[in-house]
Amino acid sequence: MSQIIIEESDRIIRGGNGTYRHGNRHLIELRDLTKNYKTPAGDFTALKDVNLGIDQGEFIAVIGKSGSGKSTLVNMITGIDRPTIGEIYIGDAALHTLNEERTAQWRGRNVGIVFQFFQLMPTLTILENLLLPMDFCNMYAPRERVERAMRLLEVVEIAEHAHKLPAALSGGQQQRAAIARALANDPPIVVADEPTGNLDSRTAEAVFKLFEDLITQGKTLLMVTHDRDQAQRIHRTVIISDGEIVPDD
Amino acid sequence: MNVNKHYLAALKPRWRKVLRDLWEHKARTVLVVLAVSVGVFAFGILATSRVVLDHNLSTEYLAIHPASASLVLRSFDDDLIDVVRRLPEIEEAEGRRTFRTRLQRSSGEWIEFNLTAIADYEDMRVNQIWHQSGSWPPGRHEVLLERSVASYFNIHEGDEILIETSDDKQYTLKVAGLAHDLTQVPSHLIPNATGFVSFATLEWMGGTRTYNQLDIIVAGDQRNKAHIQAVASDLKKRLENDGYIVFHLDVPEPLQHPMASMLAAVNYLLMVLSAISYALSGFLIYNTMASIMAQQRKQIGIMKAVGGRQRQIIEVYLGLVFVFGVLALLVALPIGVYGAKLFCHYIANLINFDLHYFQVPRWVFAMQTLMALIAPVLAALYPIIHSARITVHAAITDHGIALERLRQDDLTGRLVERVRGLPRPVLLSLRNTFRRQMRLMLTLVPLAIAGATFIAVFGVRASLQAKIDETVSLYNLHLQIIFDRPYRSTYVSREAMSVPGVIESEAWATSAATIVLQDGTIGPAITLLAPPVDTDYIRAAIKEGRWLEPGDKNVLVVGEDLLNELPGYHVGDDIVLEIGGQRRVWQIVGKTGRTSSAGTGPGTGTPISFVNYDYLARIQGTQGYATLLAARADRLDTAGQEQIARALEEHFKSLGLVTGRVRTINLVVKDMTVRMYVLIGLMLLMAALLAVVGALGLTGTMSLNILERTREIGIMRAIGATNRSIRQIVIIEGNVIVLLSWAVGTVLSIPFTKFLSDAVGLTFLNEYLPFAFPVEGVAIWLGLSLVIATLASILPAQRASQISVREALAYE
Ligand SMILES: Nc1ncnc2c1ncn2[C@@H]1O[C@H](COP(=O)(O)OP(=O)(O)OP(=O)(O)O)[C@@H](O)[C@H]1O
Ligand SMILES: [Mg+2]
Repeated sequence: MSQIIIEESDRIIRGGNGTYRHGNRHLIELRDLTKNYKTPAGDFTALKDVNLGIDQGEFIAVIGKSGSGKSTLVNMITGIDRPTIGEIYIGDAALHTLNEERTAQWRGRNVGIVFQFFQLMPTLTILENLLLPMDFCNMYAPRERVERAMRLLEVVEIAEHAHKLPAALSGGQQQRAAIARALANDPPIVVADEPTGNLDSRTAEAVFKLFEDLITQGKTLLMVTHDRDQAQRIHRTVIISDGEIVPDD
Repeated sequence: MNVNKHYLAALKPRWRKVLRDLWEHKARTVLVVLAVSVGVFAFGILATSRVVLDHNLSTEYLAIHPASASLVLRSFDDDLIDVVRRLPEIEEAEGRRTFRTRLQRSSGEWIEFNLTAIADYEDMRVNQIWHQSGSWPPGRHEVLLERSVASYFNIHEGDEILIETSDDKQYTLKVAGLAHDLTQVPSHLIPNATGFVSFATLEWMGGTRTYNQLDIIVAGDQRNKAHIQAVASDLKKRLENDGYIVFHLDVPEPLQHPMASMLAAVNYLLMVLSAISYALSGFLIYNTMASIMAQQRKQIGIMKAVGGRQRQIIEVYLGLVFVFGVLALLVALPIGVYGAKLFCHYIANLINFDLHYFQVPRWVFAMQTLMALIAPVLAALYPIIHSARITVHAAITDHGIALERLRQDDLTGRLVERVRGLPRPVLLSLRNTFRRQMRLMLTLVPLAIAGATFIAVFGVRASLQAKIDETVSLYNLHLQIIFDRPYRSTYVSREAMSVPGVIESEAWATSAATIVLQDGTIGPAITLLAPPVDTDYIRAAIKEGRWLEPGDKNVLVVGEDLLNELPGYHVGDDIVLEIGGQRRVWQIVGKTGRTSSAGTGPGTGTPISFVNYDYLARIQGTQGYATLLAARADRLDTAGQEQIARALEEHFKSLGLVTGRVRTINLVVKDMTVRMYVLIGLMLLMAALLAVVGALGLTGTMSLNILERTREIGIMRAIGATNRSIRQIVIIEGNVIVLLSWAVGTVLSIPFTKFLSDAVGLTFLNEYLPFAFPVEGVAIWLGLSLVIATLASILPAQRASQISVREALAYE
């Protein structure tokens, strides 16, 4: 039990004076972020001098043309990719200073990720896919886990498919499962990279509603989308063009 | 999937994933498990057998109260035994009379039959023989047969057997029962017969109630051979001073069954081979895990994305190989125990002892557990750690399977490109095979090693055969007959020639001699053969020094087997021989090849030395007389020569001559060959295990290749490939790999043959064997390889032909 309590301290906690441990005021703060990729044709700059602050409870849409750097940006925030230059503070963590191992651990507790392609483990049932993050991060008492996972599946309305393998589900159902899994460890931040890009408009609408519900629960949301209609329903829009954030008018 | 839901419910999802992956790929799991288990059960069999056989053999051997030394005298009686028993340095002594007869099989063939008369069957004190079945002790006109005789020659209790003594009289004895004599080499190794009678029966057959063999157990340190030798030599001297004639003194390895050391050596050799097969199973695991890990890149990425740490991911996959190990152990343990039982029974039967105790030592189980669990983990460590390092980013942006770099410029790739006349799809398939160079290597090596070992066993066989041939080729003759007493040379020669089929003959003198070592102790016994100096019946290949010359006196030409046994003696040295109680100094003037029969086990022949007829006859006072007649026949085939040999026997018998059996060289060769095949057979068995591991590896590789090419095969199918053509592609690929391994194995077999021949030669013959390259083995292995290739490809080919276009496109 004590182990769980100690590891709980990994979770994001707001500092007493309105700032986080490293002095960042925003929950998510990107400072002078640059990302270069090495290619055979030389270095390619996918992100250039990006500065961005996101507060708790915000719902952010990231939009931009294909190849503009949207995925690169959100991958910085999830710790999936690392910046070439610059600093990333999320809550009390200085992400750019963490090694791969610490990052994975931190991510498991603090960020839920939803990919465009559903990325469920093919040999685990839907329920087991949900249990996996809790297992890895040692969250919740083992007996609570199944109960919690089933609750999440009920929220995304696929509880009756809990014991099926992903291949037996439709695309929309799989995406719901992926969202439920992103919430498994009750992370304060959820990042979704084109979660509805592969779905028909009605299914996409249903999935989007799920995200809107998350905001009411106080989560912070970042969603890459091509869908203008969706973007308009989101609090704030970050537009990226050629790796740079286009300033708000 | 729902079936195992309940069982898995208690497991963490990551461990469930492990079990599902194993279950999803049952064939792959079975292959890996079998491959690991081969090395583990082979170890179990050999280690257990080593302990069990050793324990049984030594317990049983000690229980018969084995003689420390045996002396062969002309004659002695109970008075002498009483005297010897009272000597402080002797703990126990017993006298027996052994005498040579012949026994007629139901087929009419005569075989050598050594009978031993025992005074009191209820009070045997040294070299006890044990009651096996039937009545005990044997009554008048009854005989107990050694049990191996009964089974080998198919003679049963209650049968009447016809025997013939050396003075030509025939007697019918009833087989009253069977006895077990642990000191005898069993009939299936040396096809002689042994039996036991009472003195009453012996007297009825014209023998006397005296002994000729004195077996003693020394007091004091019974393990100390030097001590035994000293005591026995003293006793011998004392007996001779008292006027007894001592023909021979034999001091065997103390308290050790004569075949125990050979058994240990064989076991060691087989153990080395099983260790190789264990090591090779690691290659299959490496290949399998490398492939699994490559396919799991995306899943690893997902696990990391949801918070899986590298250590946890490594644990997941180590868990997978751990399960491989546990399953392999579950397979290997029972096979190991059962196999050990079979093997122990086989060996016990071969050496003719009983298994009273069979228990697998705990340390063997512990070792097997360790082996089964460690090999998979070690072999899989690199691919697992390597793949677990992949970043989430790399994993989720990884489109297509770029497992290994495809290099257009590499050598093998270009070689395959060059192959002409193969169908396009086969070429495609081969190109893929060669691109997976690491996997190809790891598949080739076990097969090549199995092949090299297999070929090397044939090499050893050829070398042993060459040794036998070398021994036999000393003698440019077909038949030989040994007389129990000297007869006039001209007379026996003339009579021999009168037998149809005998075209030439030559009379020799022979003598038993004992070497007296420099420190005065008794050395090995040898046989002196003394042909006329101008003989062409012996074609000794002189390896050092010279052959006998006219006018040679106390000089001898020895075989290299004797010199190997006598370190410190060289050509040119003096050597003291004791013949008929008299010691003389001789000089070694030459060395030939091996003279005693090549084979495994004791009693397969005493070394022979050659001396001049004139000199030996003179010191024995038998000039003009012969104790051995060598002859050449007009038939070269075994059956023909045996026929002539029997006619010769009959003829001499009709003349009233006291003779031993007429031996044909062909039959001598056959006896030696039989013993050799026991060893060869065991080694082939181990080579076969290696081949099994190699074949499993090949099947594994083929399956992985098919799995990874699912999409490619689907596309071929979409553009019109038939089941048959897809199966064909797979089978051709398997054959190409196997042919390559065969070529590599053939090259490797040269050092392997050298190593194995040396090991076998030093162990069993105390010398290096001549190197013989086994063309035959290479050819047989080629045939076997093609069979293996086809067998190993069948399942993968079947699988490939079942891949549908839809499945291929869904595959990731
Ligand atoms: N690993 C990489 N190596 C080299 N260049 C890369 C790499 N990953 C991304 N890029 C490049 O960086 C740029 C930004 O890529 P990113 O994936 O962020 O675009 P995106 O905005 O998400 O586009 P889309 O809407 O198509 O998903 C692209 O031009 C892409 O080619
Ligand atoms: Mg993108």
